[in-house]
Amino acid sequence: MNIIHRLFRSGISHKIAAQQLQQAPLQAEELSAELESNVALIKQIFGNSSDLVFRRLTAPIGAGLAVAAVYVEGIVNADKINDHILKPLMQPSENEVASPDGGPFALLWNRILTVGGIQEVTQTPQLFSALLSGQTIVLIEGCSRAIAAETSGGDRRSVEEPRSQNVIRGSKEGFTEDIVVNASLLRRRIKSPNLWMETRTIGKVTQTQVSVMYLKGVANDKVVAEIGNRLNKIDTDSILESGYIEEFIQDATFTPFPTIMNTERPDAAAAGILEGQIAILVDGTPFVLLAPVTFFKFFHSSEDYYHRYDIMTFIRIMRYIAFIMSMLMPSLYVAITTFHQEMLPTTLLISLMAQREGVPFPALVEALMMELTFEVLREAGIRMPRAIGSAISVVGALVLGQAAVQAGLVSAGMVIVVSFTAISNFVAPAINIAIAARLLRFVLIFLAGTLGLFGIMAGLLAILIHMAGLRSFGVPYLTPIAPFIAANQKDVFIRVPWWLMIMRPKLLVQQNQKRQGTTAQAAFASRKKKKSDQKQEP
Amino acid sequence: MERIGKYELAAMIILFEVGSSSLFQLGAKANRDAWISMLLAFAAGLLLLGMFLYINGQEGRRNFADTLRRHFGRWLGTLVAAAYSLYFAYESMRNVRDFGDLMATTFLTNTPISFIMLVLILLSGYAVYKGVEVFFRTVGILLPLVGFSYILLIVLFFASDVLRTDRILPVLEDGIAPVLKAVPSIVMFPFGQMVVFLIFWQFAQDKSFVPKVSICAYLVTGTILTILNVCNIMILGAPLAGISSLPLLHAVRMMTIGAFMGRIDAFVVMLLFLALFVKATLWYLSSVVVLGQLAKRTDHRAFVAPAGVLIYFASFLEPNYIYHIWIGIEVSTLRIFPWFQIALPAALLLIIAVKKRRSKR
Repeated sequence: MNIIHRLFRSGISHKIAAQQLQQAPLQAEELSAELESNVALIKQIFGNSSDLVFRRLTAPIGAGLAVAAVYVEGIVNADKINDHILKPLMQPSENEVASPDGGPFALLWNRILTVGGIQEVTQTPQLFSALLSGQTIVLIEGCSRAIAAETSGGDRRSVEEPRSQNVIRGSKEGFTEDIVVNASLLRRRIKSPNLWMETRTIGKVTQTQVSVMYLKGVANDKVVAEIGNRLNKIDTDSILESGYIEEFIQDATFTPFPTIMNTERPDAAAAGILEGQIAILVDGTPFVLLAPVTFFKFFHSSEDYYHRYDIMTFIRIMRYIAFIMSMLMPSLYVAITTFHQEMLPTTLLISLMAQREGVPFPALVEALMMELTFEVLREAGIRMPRAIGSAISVVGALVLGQAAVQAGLVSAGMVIVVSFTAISNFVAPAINIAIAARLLRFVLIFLAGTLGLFGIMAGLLAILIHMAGLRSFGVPYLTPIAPFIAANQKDVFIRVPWWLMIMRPKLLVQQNQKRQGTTAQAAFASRKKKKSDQKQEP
Repeated sequence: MERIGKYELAAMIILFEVGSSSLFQLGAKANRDAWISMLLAFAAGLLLLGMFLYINGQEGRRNFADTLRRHFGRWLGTLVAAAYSLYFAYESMRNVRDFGDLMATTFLTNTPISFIMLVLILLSGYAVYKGVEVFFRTVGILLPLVGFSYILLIVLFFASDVLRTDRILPVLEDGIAPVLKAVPSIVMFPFGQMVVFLIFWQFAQDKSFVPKVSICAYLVTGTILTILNVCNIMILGAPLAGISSLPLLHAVRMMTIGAFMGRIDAFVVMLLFLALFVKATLWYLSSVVVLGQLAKRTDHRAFVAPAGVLIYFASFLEPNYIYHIWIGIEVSTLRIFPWFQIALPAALLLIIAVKKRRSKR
């Protein structure tokens, strides 16, 4: 019967079998009272991995108590283990050992191990997750319960300046790969008990910690619940970067536009949280996700709020123009030189056409060729080893630029257009929105080459309709332009001085909208009062 | 439930009304007094708008097809709603054809008109598929661009010295008769076309802002259209403005500002592009929404493709642009449109008023 059952399972559903295999090590097994059999069990399941350290010792307690400390090398703080676990075990003072009532377990728990985070472990899955997150397991002879002591540590990158989102003025701290450090960076900026944090473990194999942080009373509760739901639905074996989470929980998949923002800057994340966004921290990556987000947020840099408002307004508008340029320049060039020559002033037209005289390709092919070349150059620039960087720039600038024009393969005008496009694409503070423009640019070039300005307009309209239909966790993507919200206009294209931004942006926040003046605190107080009232009602 | 805000509603009314009307010289029959006909028609249109708003105000959140069914009876109401759907599709087809011919004569002289119209119908279909809310939002974004461009255009007209006041003088040279004769067709097109908003008012976030927003937006459009109309006459003169196939474009070509602002007609074509797109899509959308309401489905998407195919192929019925314009001006505006813009709404209004009175007693 059993055999038939097995055959049925393995024969019909490989998927189930595979899942079982995957979860096999995690099948619950009770610890035994024998020290050696427990050690053997751990060794067997870890396949005798050499970074697993078993420190056996006999503690001078009673007639000598056999104890083993087990930990994974490299992810633990060795000093802590030596000072707070091994040393007190080996040299317990007289009064610690004096009254061994309650057995050795209670003695170790209450008197000997001088570690803060400590927990009892009786089953294997708990034991392994504790072991792998850097805790030290203390196994005791004759006791079927083990003690897991918090000793995690080891070398990690310290807090450094963020690499991807540089600012001139503002905090130089960046998130690190350590989720605890990242959370602390946010805590240090928002010292409020209303900054709530929910942590869950996602990824059956990687067991990655994912934390959701938000400001209770400011963040929309429905969105918080929705993010929690979507995170709970993730069923995967590995989460290595916040990008995994982003793709699992985002609203729309078939779009070049990002509907979740990421940042490496704690100050940007803190600002987002204070405006009602919800931060998702993932262990192992310095990129923290922020949601919900609107299209215009991607053009705001945290620095906008540190410099003078008038200058930053100018720079902000310039960013939008640069974004549109980076999307449209090549296609406009193609459309005008192929279909609408009459739009240009005559002298400019003559000089452009004279340049194109020797070029054997239509403008469309020329543009696609140059754009592709540039994309290759850019990708090479990111991936290549530092040492050969100069070679790439020589090849890029001289060979592909000047030489190509002299050889008559492309026109000088096209090179100017492509270079300007490329530079303006780097202006957007968020790289993921710049990439969207990069991709759409090719579509628009193609439309311009076949249908001229008509094609560009049709393409732009389609993009606009598409964007108007996007949502990020219930918030329309083009808020506050479409739907139009007059109150939010203070911080979209322009930025007004801080003292004028009295309200938090609408739609993100539904309660406690005021962030300045005494009522901001009053709102917090009233929320608490309301809550206590609700409690009293039943 | 889809909801539209007051800004989006105003934006849609403005773009929709300015839409294809800026393509033609309205009231050309009245010659240089066309602008007076415009103003009279504008006022008459306001009465129609009042009627539509009253009907809408009485019906709360009930959709258009249900309103018709309720007051005309089940069978007749369904029939009338179906007729409206067909009428909307016809209006949409007219704009698609206008669009095709505009593009084929200005931008893409070598591209077959069938392909141009196919691109438009696909684009419109995409917008319709996305639904009422998304399309209204899209138009909300377009309004600042289009509005700014029209204002810029009018400023440029005044800045360059192409405007000649003597071209609209003397006023009422042939008496009031020709002016009055031109009025009905202007009432039907574009002002009476406000009837389409009977479908969309029910989507408003808050019904209380509907009358105010609609009337304000209507006043804005009327002003813009009248100014453009006068500008056309003052630049081209009444005879030329009357026979030109694209008077606005023609007028723009007449002006030069500085050395480099000489050729902004491509820019004007883009404006007309946007306006026609918005108009064709709104008609298309209303046709599809009414079909959805008739089928009692909350999701109208099933009808996007059939209606699109119908509109696309119907736009080939007319052999050429001249015929298309003639049908539009001589047949449709005076024989078909009054039914849907005046007769049926008036009947509806009457039934509602009578019912209300009875219930009061």
